[in-house]
Parts: sequence; structure tokens; C-alpha cells
Amino acid sequence: MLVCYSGDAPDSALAPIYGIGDPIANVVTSKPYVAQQSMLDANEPKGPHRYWKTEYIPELPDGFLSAFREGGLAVTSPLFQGVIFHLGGALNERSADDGAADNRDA
Amino acid sequence: MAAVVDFVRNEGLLLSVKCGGHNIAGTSIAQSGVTLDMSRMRSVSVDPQARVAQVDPGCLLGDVDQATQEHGLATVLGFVSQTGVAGLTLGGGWGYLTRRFGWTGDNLEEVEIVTADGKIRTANREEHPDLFWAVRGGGGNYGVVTRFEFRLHEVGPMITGGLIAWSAERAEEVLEAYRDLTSTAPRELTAATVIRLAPPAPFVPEE
Repeated sequence: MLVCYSGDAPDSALAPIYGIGDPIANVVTSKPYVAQQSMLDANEPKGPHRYWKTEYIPELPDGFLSAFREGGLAVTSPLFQGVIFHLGGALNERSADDGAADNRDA
Repeated sequence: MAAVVDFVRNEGLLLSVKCGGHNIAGTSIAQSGVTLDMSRMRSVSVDPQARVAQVDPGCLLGDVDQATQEHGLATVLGFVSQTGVAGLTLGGGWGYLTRRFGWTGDNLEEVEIVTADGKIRTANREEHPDLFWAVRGGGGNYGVVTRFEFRLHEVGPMITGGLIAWSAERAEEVLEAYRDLTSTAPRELTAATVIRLAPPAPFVPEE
């Protein structure tokens, strides 16, 4: 899980994540925002040819989570990543027609 | 840049704009056409009182974050510091701050843009509002943006972040907890769940 918390109560905000328990690795720590913003640079080098597919969805139904899990666990390439990114919040508060980006129910 | 736009229009050539060059479909390079390479235009000017930043069209995300964070400010940008700001913004854009402040394009206040007729225009919510609507998510189809103005917010400069990982046999449990988190998390928290083979990182045990 990739985590960024920019408020002033990290312990309570992150408790549901730490509560999962027994991680094999945990490098969540206090750091400069600019360090967080470059944390993934080495993971996305220039050069490799890529194939991406992206879908915006309004919720995480059971069928989606099981397909994501089973599909992801069946992959053998070290270059594969499946990512669920939590949006919602401020972007939901504007009308669908506020700019060409739309997807305001994501 | 207006002269280049006039030239390619008169010659009937395809024009592309290359900023960070990160578009995976390769749209920054015009096949048999003309590419405007913005990579030497990387200045950022921050007005901490007005909380806006003027950003050159060749800026990478790291250029803007570094300049704004000197004042404890930030706008919504993506995840890899070498990504170009222009392509990210024109495509809509999102990042760790989207839950607090919306799409990257929601934080755009104004652009200076060369349209296909070679005119240099300013577009914002009052001036050319239809053009401004289009550049907030419509991609690079509406002209060559030569300056971006972004709204800034108080962020950091210290945050809490990083990676936490569990083994594959716990995937179901982790995904359930993640789904619960998406309904309870404050906007200041953004978590992404990644499923992948463990990378050869120093913090990951070998087995």
C-alpha cells in the first residue's frame, strides 16, 4: 500500500492501515513532501515500453476486488503492477461539466 | 512559438509539444511533423501572498514542488517527479492531494496559450472560458500552452508517507481493510493498493 497523509494527526489517520498487522515491510515515515513526490521515480524509469489500462469506478464491489486479487496474483512478470487508487473527496464536489476531465464520481 | 504554429499551419504539418516526454503513447513526438521541445523552459515563479505559481511549459513536477514547498505550499501534481507538468495538467491530472483539492486542472487558474490561428491568448474563467474549460482535461488538442498559473495550498513541508506491504496470502484481508478505509479516510489521507511481485528493494526481505 502506498500512503500519503498530509494532515496533523497521522497516528489516528493511519491506524486502520497499521491495524491490518504484521506487514512484511513498512517504510511509512515522516518525510518532506518533495521526498514523497519523488519516491516512485526509480520505479518508473524512462525507456521501457509500457501498456496501461485505467478505469474510474465509483465504489469497490466484491466482484471487482476478487478479480483484481486473482488476476494480480496470477501474474508472473516482475514488471506488472495492479493499482487501486483512492480518489473521491474534493473532486466530487464540482459539477460533471466543470472542466473537460469529468469522472467526478470516481 | 506563435511563429512555429503559423509555420506548421501554413505548411500543413503535424505539430506536437514535448514537455516531460512521459506520454506512453508517444504523443510528444510528431511522426514526420514538427515537435516543439519545451524542455529548456523550466522556470517557476511563486507568489506566496496570492498563493499562485506561474509555471513554464517545460517544467517537470519536481521543479514546481521544490519551488512551492520553499513556502510550505503545493498544488495537485502526480507521482513521479520527472513527469511533465503540461501533459499531466492538460489531461486532468491527479495525485496524493486530489482528495483535498481535486484534479490538477481544478487548480489551474489561467493559461497563456497559442491557438491554431497563431494568436497568443489568455484563458481563464472570465476570458475565453470555453477554451479554459477544454484545457482542463481535454489534452493537448487546443493549442500550445506557454504558461500555466496554479492555485497553491498549504501542504507539509513534512508529511507522513511511504510504503507498507503484506504477503500475497493476505491479499483478501488487505483488500477488505482497504475498502473500509476508502469510506472512512479523511481527505488528508490518500492510500493506493498495489498488487505486484515484491521489488528488489532494500527494505523488502529476500524471501
